[in-house]
Amino acid sequence: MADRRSAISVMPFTSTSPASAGPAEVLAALQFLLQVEYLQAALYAGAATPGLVPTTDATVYTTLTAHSTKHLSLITELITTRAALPAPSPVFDFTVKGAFPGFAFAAGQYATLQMLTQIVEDFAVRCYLGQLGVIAADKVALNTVVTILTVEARHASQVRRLRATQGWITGNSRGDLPAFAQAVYDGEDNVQQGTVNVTSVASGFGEVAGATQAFDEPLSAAQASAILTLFVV
Amino acid sequence: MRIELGSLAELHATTRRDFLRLIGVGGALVLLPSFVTACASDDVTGLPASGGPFVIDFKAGDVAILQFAFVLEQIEADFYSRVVAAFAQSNFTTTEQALLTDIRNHEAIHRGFFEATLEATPGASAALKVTPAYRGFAFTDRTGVLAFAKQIEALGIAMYNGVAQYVVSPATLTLLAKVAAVEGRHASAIGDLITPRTDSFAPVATDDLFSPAKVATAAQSNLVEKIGFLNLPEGFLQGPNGNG
Repeated sequence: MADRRSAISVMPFTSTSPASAGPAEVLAALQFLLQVEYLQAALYAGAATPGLVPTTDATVYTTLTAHSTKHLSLITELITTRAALPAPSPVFDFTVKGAFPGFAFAAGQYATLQMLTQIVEDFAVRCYLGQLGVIAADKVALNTVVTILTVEARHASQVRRLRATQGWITGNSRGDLPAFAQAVYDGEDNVQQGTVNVTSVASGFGEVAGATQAFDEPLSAAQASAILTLFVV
Repeated sequence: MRIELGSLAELHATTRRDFLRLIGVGGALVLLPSFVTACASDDVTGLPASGGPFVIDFKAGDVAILQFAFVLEQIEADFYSRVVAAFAQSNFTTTEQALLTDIRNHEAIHRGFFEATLEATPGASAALKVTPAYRGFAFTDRTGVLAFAKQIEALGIAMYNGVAQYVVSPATLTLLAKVAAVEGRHASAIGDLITPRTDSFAPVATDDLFSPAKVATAAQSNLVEKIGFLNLPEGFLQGPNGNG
């Protein structure tokens, strides 16, 4: 348990991205992404319970699980090849401190699993986005991380659409998700992209809603850690 | 003078000067023919690579990468706009039309974002437009449209992933990735329309990561202008799929 706490707090860097992050900052960013991958791996391990995922969606979940396993091993490898020890996995609580009371990956709980999958995948996209500025200092790590990021976005889109939600995020809407999930969507309503307020180019193209859908948004390490903590026992 | 993709990067400085003088815009960064108004018809805007050279000079740093992304976003936005405009004659369901309209909106916003960003970049004067080419493509045909959409989304993703290693500013890197992530969301939706509830929303665990030259070669078949590069960064680091 002590390991788990120290793993979560192993982020000495700030939320701003230094132009020249060093190897220690890169490693801390990778260790954080490892936590995000542990979260997904634990979710998909639970999803394998027979009778939980209906056969119509079985291939989708098999794919999500296989990719999650691959991502976990890629991030682990990036850490070990940098002569560091991957932090251990926390123990996760998918009732999310009681927000999903009684959730136990049991048959008949697919609707809750789908909500959790959406939350975790949308969260992962924002976590990866938030670490790019630091990881940029290490091009090998960067190349792996960007190719995982776009796949996380594919996953998020698919699981959203499986539950009849659009594949993209509108404003900072969490839709029908419970209140704790709001933190996963806060800031997604940003329309200032670099020097451009993109509502200025959204006229006739979905207006403000379209402008927010067209860009995913990063979570800072502090924001992301606070969310991750909700899932830890 | 014939300009071949990839050959520009190998030109010596004197040759480059000669080249710029030859085509009559000495010192200009990017070269365009007099801009041809898009045809009224939905099929042909011109033959691929039949226009003047369109040169991106990587000496400009991150600006060059924004220019390159702008080229692809122009193709994507133009493509989906034509798809949406052809709905009355096409065989998409109402649900599919709504989804494709959303994607059209996002791509048009991406296009507008890069244009505005480049226009606001001091000294860039670089928000130059291209003419997409389609060679009689049937915008009313669901199967063909989805196949093209899948291809262009995957190419966009591979482009963003491939240029990341060359981006200097961490802020610009993150901006590009914010767009790339939404392209990933699109690719997933398109893949699932083609073969629902299979692995086609995400065929591999890591997306492709292509070199600018590989992306340009693929994009050329949908561009009237002949795209070329100057001062391409030396060295290209492959991604996990090793196919860039």
